[in-house]
Amino acid sequence: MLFNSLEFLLFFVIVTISFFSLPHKYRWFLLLTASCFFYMFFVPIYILILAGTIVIDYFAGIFIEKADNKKKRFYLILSLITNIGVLVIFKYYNFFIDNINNAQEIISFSYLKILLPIGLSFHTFQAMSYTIEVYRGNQKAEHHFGIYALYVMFYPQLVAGPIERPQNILHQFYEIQKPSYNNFVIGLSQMIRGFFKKVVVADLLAGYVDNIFNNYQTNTGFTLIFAAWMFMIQIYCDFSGYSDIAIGAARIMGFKLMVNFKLPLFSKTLSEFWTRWHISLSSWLRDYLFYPIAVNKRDWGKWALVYATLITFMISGLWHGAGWNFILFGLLHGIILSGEILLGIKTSFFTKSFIKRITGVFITFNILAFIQILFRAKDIYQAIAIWKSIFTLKYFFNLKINDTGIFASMLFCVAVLFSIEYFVFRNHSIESIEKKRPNWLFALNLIFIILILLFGVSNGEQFIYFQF
Amino acid sequence: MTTKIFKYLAILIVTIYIADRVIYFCIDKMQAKTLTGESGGKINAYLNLKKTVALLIMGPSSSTYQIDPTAFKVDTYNIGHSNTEDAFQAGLLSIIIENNKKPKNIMLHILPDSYLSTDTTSTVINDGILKLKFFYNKNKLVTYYINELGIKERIKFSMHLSRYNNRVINTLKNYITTKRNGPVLNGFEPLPVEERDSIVATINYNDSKLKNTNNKANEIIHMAKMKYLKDFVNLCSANNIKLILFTLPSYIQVKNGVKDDLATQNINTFSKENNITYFDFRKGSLGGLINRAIYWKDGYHLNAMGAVIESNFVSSEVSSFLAN
Repeated sequence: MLFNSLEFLLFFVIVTISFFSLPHKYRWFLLLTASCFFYMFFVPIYILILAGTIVIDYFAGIFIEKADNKKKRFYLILSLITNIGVLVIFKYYNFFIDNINNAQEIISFSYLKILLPIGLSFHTFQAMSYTIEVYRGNQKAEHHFGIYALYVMFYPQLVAGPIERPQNILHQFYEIQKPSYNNFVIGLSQMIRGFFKKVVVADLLAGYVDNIFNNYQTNTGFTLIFAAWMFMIQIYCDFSGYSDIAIGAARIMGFKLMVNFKLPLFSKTLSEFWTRWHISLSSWLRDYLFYPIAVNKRDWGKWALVYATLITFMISGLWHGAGWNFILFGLLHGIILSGEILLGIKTSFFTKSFIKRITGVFITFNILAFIQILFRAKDIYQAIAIWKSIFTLKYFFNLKINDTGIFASMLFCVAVLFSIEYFVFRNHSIESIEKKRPNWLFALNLIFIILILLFGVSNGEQFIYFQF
Repeated sequence: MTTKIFKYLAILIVTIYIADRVIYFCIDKMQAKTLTGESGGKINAYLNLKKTVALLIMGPSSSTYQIDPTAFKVDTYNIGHSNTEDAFQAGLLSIIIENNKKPKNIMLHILPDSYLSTDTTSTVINDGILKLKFFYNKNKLVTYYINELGIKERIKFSMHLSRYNNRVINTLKNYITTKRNGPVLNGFEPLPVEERDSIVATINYNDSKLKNTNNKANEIIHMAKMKYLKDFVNLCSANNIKLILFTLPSYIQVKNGVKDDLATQNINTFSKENNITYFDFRKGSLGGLINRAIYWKDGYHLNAMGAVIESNFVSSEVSSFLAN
C-alpha cells in the first residue's frame, strides 16, 4: 500500500481511530494485524520470509541474553547469517551469478526468477540492530513475541524506514498512548509536509528527469546537468517525504520515530551531508560497521578512518542495490569523504561567512548530483555515457523544456519547498513552531494542501527507496 | 483533548473548502480570458472566432505541428493538442458543438497502433480526457468520461482546484501571452528548424531498429480504445459534420515502410463500416518527399521545413473530398 494513495488515507484513519478506541492491552495486536495487512498489500507471500526471520531473531535475542559469552556470539552470528542470508538470496544472488557467468563461459548458472521483497534491506537492518544491541547488553531481550514482531513490522516504517533501534521504539509499545492534541497537530503537519514533498515536488520532477535520462543519447551538456540536479532534489523529496509521512503517522498515534533527514541539501561538506541524510542508515553503519573497523585498526592513525570509511561506504553502496553502479556510488562517496579526512576539510570552515556557506553548499550539491547519476543509471556503462554526454562541449549550452508550464510548476514548487525549509525549518522544528507560533503551522499546512491540490501528481510513482 | 482535535480538523477543512472555491474562481476567470496555449487557450481562441470554419484539423502532436491551415484553399483551423487521444478529441468536439462552432469538415489524425493492446481486460483506459479537466461539470461528455475513470477521480474532482491541477502556471503564462500577443491565429504551431534536428531524428531511427525486434504478436484490438473513436464518429454524423480520418508517417515509417498489419486493417475495416474516408499517408508518395533527416525534428515530428511540404501534399490530396 503506497502512502500516496487514497487506500492508505482510509487505512490510516481506520487504524488510528481503532487504536485509540481499544484498551491498551489489545493495541499491539491491532497494530501488528494492520502492519501485516499493509505489507501484504504488495506481495502477500513474502510475509512468510519476514515471519521466518522474526521468529529466528526473537529466539536469538532471548538465547543471547541467557547464554554465556561464547554461546552469545554463536547466537548472534546465527541471527546475522539468517538475516544477511535472506538479503543475499533475494537481493544479491542474481548479481553474483551475473558476475560469475560473465567471468567464465564454462558453466552457465541460472538466475532466480523472484521479485525483491519490498523494503527488505530496511527491516533486515532493523532486525539486526536488535540482536546486536542485545548482544552488546544495551537492550534487554524482548519476551513478548507480538511486541517483538511489531518492532520489526510497525507499518509506518516497515518498508522504507527510518531504521529504528530497539532502545528507541520497543518501550514505546508498552506505554499507554492517549489522543494528544500536540501529537495530532505535529504528526499531521509532518505528514502534510511529506505528502507535499512526494506528490508535488518528487513526482513533478520525476516526469522531467525520466524524460531526460531515458533519452540520454539525445540530450547533452547543461540539460543533463540540470536533470542531475533535479534528480538529486527528486530523490531527497521522495525519500524524506516518505520518512515525514511515516514519522507523522506514528506521531499521531503517540509514537516518536527517529529523525531521518535534517535538511541535507544545505550541507556544506560531504561529511556534513552524511550526518543529515538517511540518518537512521548512516548511524546504523557508523555504530555497527565504521566504529568497529576503525577501532580495530586504530594503530593506523588517520588511515584507519580512511580504511573504515571506504569499507563502510562500499557496503552502503551495496545496501542500496545489487549492481556495480551502486558499489561505485558508495566508493566515490567513500573516496571524497576520505579526501576530506586527509585534507582536514572541516564543515566549520564553510560556516564563517555567507559566501563560504553558499560555496560549500554549491560544491557539495554538485558533487552529490554528479555521483547520483550512478544511482539513476541502469548500469555503470549508462552512467559513463551520461557523464560523457554532459561534457560534449559542442552542444553544451542547451536546456530541454518539454512543457513550459510543467517546467515552471516544477521550479516554482522546488523554490517554495526550499524557501520554507531554509527560512522556517532550518532554525525551528515543527514542535517549536507549534509551541510558539501555532498559526504559522496552520498557515503552512494550508499552503501545502493548496499546493498539493494545484500541483500534486495523483497517479505518481511508488517511492524510489521501496526497491531497497 | 479529542474535542480540540476535532475543532482543529473542522477549521482546517472549512478553510481548505473556502480557499479551494476562491482560488478556483480566480483561476477560472483568468482561464476564460486566455486565447493561446494548450491549457484551454487554443480552445477558447477557436470558440471566440466570429466565423465558422470549413475545415477543422484535430489530433495529437503530429497534426498540431505538421498541418498548416494556410495550405488549404478553404477556411481552416488547426485545433490539435499534443499528446492526446480519442477521448480528448471526442470531448473537445462535444464542447465545440455545445458552443455552436461546429465546422463543416473535420480531419482527425489517428494512430492505428494505438488501438491495439496486449492488455484488454481494462474497460476504461483513456485518461487523456484529463487534459480537458477544466470542463469538468461544464460539459456533459467530458464529465462522463472523467467519472468513468473511477471513484478516485470523482473524489479528487470534488475539490475544484483539481480542475487546474498542474495547469495553473500554464494558464498564467497563457493569460500574459494573450495580453501581449493576442490570440493564436490558426492553431498551427510549427517546430522551429534547428541544427541538431537531423541528429536526433537519426538517433530515434536507430533506436527504433533495435526495438523492432520486440514481439507484437500478442497484441489484439482493444475495443475500449475503439469506443472513443466510435463516439467521435457518432458525434460527427449526429451533427452532420463530414469526417475524414488520416494518418501521417513518422521518420521511422518513412524509412522502413509500413506493413499491412492488424492495426492498419482494423482502421480500414472501421472506416468502411462507418462510411468514412481514410487517408493513410504512411503509404504512397508523401514518404518520398520527406525522407531526408533534415526535415525532421525527431523521429516522430517534422520541423517547420518538413511541415510545409507535408501540408501542401495533404491539402492537394484531401481537397476534393471536403464537403462544401
